[in-house]
Amino acid sequence: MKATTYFIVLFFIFQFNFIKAQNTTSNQYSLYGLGVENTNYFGGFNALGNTGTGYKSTLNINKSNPASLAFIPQNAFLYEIGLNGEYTNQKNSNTKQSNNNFNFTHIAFAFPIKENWGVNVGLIPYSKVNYEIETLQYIEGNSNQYLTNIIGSGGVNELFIGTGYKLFKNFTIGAEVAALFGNIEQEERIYVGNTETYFDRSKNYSGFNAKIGTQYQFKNKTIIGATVSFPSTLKGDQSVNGTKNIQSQEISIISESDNNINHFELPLKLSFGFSTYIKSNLLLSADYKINFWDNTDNGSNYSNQNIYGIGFEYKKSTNLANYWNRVSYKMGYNYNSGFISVSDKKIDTHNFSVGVGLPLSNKLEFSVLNISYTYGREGTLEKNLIIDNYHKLSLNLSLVGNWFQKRKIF
Amino acid sequence: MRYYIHVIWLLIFALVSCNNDSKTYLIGDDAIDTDTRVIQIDTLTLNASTIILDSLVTSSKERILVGSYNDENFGRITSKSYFEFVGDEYEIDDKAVFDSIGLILRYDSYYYGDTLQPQTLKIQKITEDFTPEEGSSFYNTSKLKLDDEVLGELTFTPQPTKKDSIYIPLSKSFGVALFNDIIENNVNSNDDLLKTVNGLAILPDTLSNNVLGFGFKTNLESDHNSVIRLYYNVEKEYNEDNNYKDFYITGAAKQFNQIQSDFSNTLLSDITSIEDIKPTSSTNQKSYIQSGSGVCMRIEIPYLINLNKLENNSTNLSASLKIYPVNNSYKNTSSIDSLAVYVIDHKNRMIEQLTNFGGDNVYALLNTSSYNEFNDTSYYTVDINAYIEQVLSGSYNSNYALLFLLPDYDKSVDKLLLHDATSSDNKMKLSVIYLTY
Repeated sequence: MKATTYFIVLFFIFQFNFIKAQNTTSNQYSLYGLGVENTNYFGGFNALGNTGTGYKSTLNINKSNPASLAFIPQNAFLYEIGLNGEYTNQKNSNTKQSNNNFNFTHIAFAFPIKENWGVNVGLIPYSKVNYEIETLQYIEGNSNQYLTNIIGSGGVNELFIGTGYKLFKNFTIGAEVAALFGNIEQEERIYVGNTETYFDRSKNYSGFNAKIGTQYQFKNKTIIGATVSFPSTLKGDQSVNGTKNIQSQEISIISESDNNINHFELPLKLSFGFSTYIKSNLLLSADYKINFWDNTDNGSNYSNQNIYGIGFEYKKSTNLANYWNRVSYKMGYNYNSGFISVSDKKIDTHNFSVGVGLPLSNKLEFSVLNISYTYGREGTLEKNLIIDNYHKLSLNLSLVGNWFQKRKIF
Repeated sequence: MRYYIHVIWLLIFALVSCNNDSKTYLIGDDAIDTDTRVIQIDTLTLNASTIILDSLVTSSKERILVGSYNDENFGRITSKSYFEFVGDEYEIDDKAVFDSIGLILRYDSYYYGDTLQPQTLKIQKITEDFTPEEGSSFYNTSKLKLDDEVLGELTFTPQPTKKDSIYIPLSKSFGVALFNDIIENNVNSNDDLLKTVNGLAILPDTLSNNVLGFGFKTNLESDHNSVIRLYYNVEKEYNEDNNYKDFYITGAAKQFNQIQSDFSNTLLSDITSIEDIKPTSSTNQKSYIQSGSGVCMRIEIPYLINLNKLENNSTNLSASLKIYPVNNSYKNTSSIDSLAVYVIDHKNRMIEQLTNFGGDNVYALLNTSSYNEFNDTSYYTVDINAYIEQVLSGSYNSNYALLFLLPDYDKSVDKLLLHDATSSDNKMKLSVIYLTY
């Protein structure tokens, strides 16, 4: 197992670089704020309409509610990686364009400390910035046009550690702290006549965030859950470099580093959810989340965000002896009101997802490959804005190893 | 070992090599969160004026410029030319007999004025050393003492584009003296020659109406040259050989043109020193340029530094100055197709020639594409962006100005007038495009 451990550590380092260098979504709306929020959930939760606040998760990591970590079985070691392939079809009133990409999204580990007490650590993207915009504008005071090309990249990452503990029978609590850090880069090129002006604005954000959660189980059938994510502030600084290129000469316009810029405020976030077995093999999971962006001072175009999610999980039978009986089928719908208004239109998202959880072997190791497909639609065609139709294929590996047991044997 | 896990890892790495193919997308303007704006302004004040440079170097210009013309705006301009001459060797057959001597001047195709009118050139001897008063250059204001005697004189109708040269016969006494000095070995070298003749001056008719340019070479390798030619005959038993010996201009530095202007009955008459700035408001909204006399256009942009104050963060991207010459104020468009531009200070002292960002000299170029005889709206454009950059960055003082003159300002006499920024039509205009961020 030493080799695997080594491999995982290496992979973790690799992943760090990866999150910095790559982007999973090309989204014009990521121009604003910290970019678009990550909506790639762990395990099979993508296919459950991004729910999970009230979902008791034993053999995969439930990032939605740290209270769920209390259910990790003794001697199990869970690890989880996510991969995401996305095909987007963007259009506004005049044009259409398609993008596709494929990337890692996250990595996390979870393990029990002792019975009824679990811990997880992981690295996930908090937000992503990836856009390229071209515009033709008129020179003020002139009838000529000039071209501007803006490329944004980067994002904010979240390194988190969470823990869940069963306080009483059927009652678990959890807490999570996260370090948020990241770099958002904007390259702007302005072509006027024979000149090219280039600005590279690099913003660094960093800060911490804390979340607490709880779950309560009724009659082994229904679980309710809630989480509170406390407001926090990300400190920002910016470096700006600007040059103009005239007659093949590059002339520096501005070179500033570590300028303080406005803090970015994360709002108070509340989440309520439940899951219940409608039948012994059919689970319903639902969430309502509200994020109080109104109370932040990130700008007048931020307003409260409401997210509704519902999902169903079906297994053929509760008899786990047969492979196909252990395969889970999921389906979900999520509506996200969004929190940024562009041209006075709030950019909201609908998505519909289906998924399947495939056990990776016939042995009772419970490692599962979750494959989910999401169709989503973000934005609007009104006010010359963009509508973004995306097809997302997510792969999550929830790997279960019983290391601690093995170590004992060794 | 869980072998399959490793297979999965490898699979993942392989998949990630798929690239991220993001493309450009155009979206509505107000969806863009950028502070960048591009603005053109063409309302900057331009103060045009006329100044007169007090001394132009006219030696080493490789042109003998002689003639005179009168102009209602510039008065009378007259150019005299001085040169020193030497020979290659000082051997003449003892039996030779002097025949004649003359000055051959080769047209170099430059001319100004009315060549249908006759010109009279007189040749006089220089009676002092051919050295400048100070330094190593002669100026348009330089002169050398001359002997009163006229060695030669020719009145002719100039044909600078049709004919190759003119021949001005010189006096027999001058020729004989030179011939005998050589025969009698009094003159065996250039030094010996220069002891007997310091050089010659060519003086035009100061009431004439044309100015001519003649070329020369400072050796005898080409027979296409301006030379002093000494003819002699050598008697042989049955026939007679016509021989000659040529003397050529010693060097480019040993030739200069004295160019004098009389502004007394013109609007420029009150300019008495190089520091005098004559605003176009006192010269009918026109600025003056004349080669030879040092009359130049000066343009100051007094509020240029305020560009820095318009916005906190701004940078200039281009600056184009457009200047219209006054119709019929010049010989033809090809004679004024460009203007050299210099940066000068508030006392009109030259700082340096205007360059662009690449360090190349920048000229005001005449746009003649729209020019025809019915629609005479050709204009100069000049890129002064690098100049503005230097002013805004403080490398140039804010009271610096730009000086415009014809590139051949020190070896020709062309002239033109230019409309200023307050002119009723064809105003000069500066368009600056800058970017705020």
